[in-house]
Amino acid sequence: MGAQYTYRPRQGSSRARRGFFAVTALIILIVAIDVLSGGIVRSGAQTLTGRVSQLGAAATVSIGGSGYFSSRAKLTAEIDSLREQLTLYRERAALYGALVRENEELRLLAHLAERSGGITAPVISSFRASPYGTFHIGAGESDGVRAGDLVLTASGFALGRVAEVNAHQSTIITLLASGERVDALIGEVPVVLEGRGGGNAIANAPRAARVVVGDVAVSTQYANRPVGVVGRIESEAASAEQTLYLNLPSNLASMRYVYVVATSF
Amino acid sequence: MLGVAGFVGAIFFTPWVPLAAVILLSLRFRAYEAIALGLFMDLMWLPAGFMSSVPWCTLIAFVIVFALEPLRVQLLR
Repeated sequence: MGAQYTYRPRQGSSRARRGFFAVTALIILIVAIDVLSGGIVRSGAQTLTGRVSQLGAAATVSIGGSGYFSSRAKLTAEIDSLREQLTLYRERAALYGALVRENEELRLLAHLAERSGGITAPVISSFRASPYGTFHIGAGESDGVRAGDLVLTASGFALGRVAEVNAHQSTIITLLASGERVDALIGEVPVVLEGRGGGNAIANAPRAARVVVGDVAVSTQYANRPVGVVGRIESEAASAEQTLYLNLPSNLASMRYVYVVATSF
Repeated sequence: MLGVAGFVGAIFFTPWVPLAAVILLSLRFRAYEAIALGLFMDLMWLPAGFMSSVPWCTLIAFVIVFALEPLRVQLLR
């Protein structure tokens, strides 16, 4: 009686190899077309998904406003509204502290900074869907947006920079995206913020540094704009450093508009 | 349906949704739509194109689909 065994060829079947090479060739072709055309494939995909995203948001609003989930929707809307108010008050308080410090420095230097004009742009994609910490706004080259421009929240916190510009929309990479590093000052303490995504960052400061929860981190890379607020501090007796956990005081999920300013840095 | 859920998730939800769709598709089929999903995510979300960033989504989808080939062959016999 022959032993039963599962036969498996040592090497992959020719059909599997053909499929592998075909898929590889197709991907290389798509990438080559995109690179040689200056991003036309990506531009088309981003435009399409921007519209789908806006349609989805409109559908959600319609369903929610139909009255079917009215009682639950009312409570949810009230909670969201209160949370937004709380977030706004926290932003204003944090920005006030940053402005006071900035004002003191300027008084000592006897020098006044000028505010630059900018563009208000709608957010047309989800903040959480991107694995690279990017999102899209509905303003592009035709609106005066340029690659490298700085993107601010409504209260003036630096949110991201323009990574890529199309005719009518742009791709923004958040400053605190995973893997991004930002040089900043918390008071007089220089730190390097390491992005963790979702508007969060981590930094290390000397244990003796005077940092408290609520302190604002100001970026020395991006026109001295505030980039985050210290939310939590951890320190161990045996360590010479303290770990700072920072976050953007804005609720990214509910942000509908951002402000794009031209800057050179 | 899994493919559609993956593409919808790539637009509206966290990256874990399309990742789960890629894995589930790849377990049962030699699902080229899983690779298409990875490529779609890179086309949508890469900061500044394929020349400036590594297209991790495409690469991961590629690896998942073809790395699970021996497992599929064994399971589907």
